[in-house]
Amino acid sequence: MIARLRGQQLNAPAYDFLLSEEDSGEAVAVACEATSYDPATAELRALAAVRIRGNRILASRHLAVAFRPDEPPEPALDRFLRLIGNRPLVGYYLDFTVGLIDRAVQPMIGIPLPNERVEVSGLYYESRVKVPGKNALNLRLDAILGALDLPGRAGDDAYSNALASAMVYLRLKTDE
Amino acid sequence: MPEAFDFAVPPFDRLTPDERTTLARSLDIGVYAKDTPVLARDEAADCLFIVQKGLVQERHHGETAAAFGPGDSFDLRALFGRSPNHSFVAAEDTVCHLLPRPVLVELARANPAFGELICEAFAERLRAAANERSNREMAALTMARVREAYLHPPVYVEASATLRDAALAMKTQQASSVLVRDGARTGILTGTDLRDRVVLDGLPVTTAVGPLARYELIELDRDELLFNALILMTKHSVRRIVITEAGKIAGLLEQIDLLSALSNHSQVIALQVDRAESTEDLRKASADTVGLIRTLHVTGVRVPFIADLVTELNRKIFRRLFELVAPPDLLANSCLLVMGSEGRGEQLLKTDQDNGLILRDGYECPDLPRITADFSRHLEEFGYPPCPGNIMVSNPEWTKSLSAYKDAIFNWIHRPDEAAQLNLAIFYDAAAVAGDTGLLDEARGYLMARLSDNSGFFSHFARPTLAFDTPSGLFSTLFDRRGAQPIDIKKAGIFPIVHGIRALALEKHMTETNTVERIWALADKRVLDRKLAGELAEAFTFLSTLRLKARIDAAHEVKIDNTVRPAEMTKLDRDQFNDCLALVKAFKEFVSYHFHLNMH
Repeated sequence: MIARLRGQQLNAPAYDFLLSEEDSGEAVAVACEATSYDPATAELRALAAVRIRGNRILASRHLAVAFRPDEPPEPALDRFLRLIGNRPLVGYYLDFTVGLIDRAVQPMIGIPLPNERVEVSGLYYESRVKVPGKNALNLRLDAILGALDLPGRAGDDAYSNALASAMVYLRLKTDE
Repeated sequence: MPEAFDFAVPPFDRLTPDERTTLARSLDIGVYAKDTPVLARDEAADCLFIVQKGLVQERHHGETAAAFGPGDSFDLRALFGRSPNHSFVAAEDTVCHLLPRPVLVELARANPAFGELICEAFAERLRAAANERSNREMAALTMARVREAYLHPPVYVEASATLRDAALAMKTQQASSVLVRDGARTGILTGTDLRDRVVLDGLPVTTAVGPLARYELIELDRDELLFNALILMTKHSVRRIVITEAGKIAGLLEQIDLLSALSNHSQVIALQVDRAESTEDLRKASADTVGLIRTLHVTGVRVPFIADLVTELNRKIFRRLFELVAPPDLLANSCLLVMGSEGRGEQLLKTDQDNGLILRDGYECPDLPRITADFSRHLEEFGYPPCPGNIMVSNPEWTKSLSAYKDAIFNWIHRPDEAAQLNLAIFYDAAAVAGDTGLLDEARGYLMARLSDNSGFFSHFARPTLAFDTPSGLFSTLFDRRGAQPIDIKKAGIFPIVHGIRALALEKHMTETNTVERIWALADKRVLDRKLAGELAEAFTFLSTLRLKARIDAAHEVKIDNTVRPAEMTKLDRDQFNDCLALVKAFKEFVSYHFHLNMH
């Protein structure tokens, strides 16, 4: 994590908490809506984040923010950063989501998100495929939810996707 | 609100659209893997669980008490109090909606129709709980037989005898009535009859009793329930009934003896303890517990229930005694502990005093030595023998400040010797009975935090499990033929289970103190599989029952006797005893393997 940040400095002291070593024991599931699937050009439309504590998804305290072309993104990003803190990020197709966030956040704080990342499709793959390369596995999110006997997504919005990722994470996480 | 919450299921169908939005917004989600606890034993719930997918089972003493599928919610009882010994375990991979308590309470207040349904469901749960408890107490009360009450031997006079003869017989035999033989029939003449006939009616004392006696005897067999005797007396408004055995008159049951047999009942004793204003009152109440245990045992009440009741009563006695001897400032700044079997809640008769006192740091009580000495002395008078290892409040080693306790715990763990192992084992079983329980919580918290994952430590701690030999079933069967060897049931059976389970529980940092509760908690954590857990709990109960029996039979002897003689058991008991010993042997192997005790 530190290596990735070499040469870059957090230049907004208000966000020091992103680099804190303190372990809250929580994780946070994130998802986004964007204008396309190309991480280089897509624009963020919406972001959702929901904290995971122990066995519980703190759905009642989730964050869902929308970005509009005519409004500055900083207030929404600020709320998002404060909610995720230094917690590991959990998500589906997480590199895409975090890539978009980084493009928006880096100008604001000087560094990309330093958080640890947990890709739930990766967790699922590892749990199912013990011999690499031998099996083809349906890694679509709905297929994963179905295979794990989890409730289906309520919609295709960022919050529904964050919630689905959180459930997959809790089902597959090997704790203790 | 993307989570799909099913509002069609009562009581949630009573909510208005706005209330539904409020509810949906306040929901969290819990995800539980198969066989993991959703709500641990005795854990108070901060939310109502509504199953969205999967299946949750409510378990009580290892048995499934209820099951909850999609749309079902639990547990109102845990939400507004505790459900002793109930745990909720995911039987399948499960997802639950979690409704926080304050939101539920607010919705119930704002929407009376919804609140009513919630209250009804809650009341039902409470009733079920109350039944569980009173059933157990009622069992003792209603199951007692006439045989257990004192019977007055019958005093006979012939029908031709005079009233004077009858009065004389009553006086010399200290009886309150006489039975009158008139040919084939038998009648009764009571002291009250004599008074009425002679004093009120003015009959001469030389009148023959034959025509005056009543010949419709109210009879009951000796094996009838005491409760029926009470009903008969009430129905006929008499104060004695004739008890028969195999059709013959065995004696008379007086109302006073009936009531005293029934009043051996735990609640009566509990009341006496609570009301005790002096140590003398308390001594009397304490003396009654022995009678209670015998009554319960001969009545066939299962040993775990007896242990529960006795634990409750003993702790009440300790608490009340401490309140009587300790000044209020000492009460406020200390925590009285019971340890060992008292702490585990497994003592059946009065056992050795194993107790201690944790003082708040910085608190000084100048009179402490006198108070603690008083406390131990009174307990001894009540019939709790002093602890041979001197683990008593009167020993300064066990009456000290919290920080001194922490130092001792540090030494037990990091500089273990023979005594340290014993002390640690005894302290791990401690339960708070009076004063500030927070002090014990803190000391125990310190103990848990000091425990490393050092497997060497746990091996050392677990090793005594194997200290005593357990004879195998086959071996003792061979011995049966030539008069079996007596077996020390404590060493051969009970101790290995208690200590092995204790070591496993300590390794998992469990806070349960009772052995059976620890067994089930270990099963919940999948340290023991459920089958082994069930067998162990049953074996432990059976062995404890045998031990209680041995000790009740030997109760007139001063020395505590733990030996049982398989040759004197019934065939059924002996077979089960042998099965238990075989299980204990298997469990010892499990412990030995788990803690690597065979590797030197």
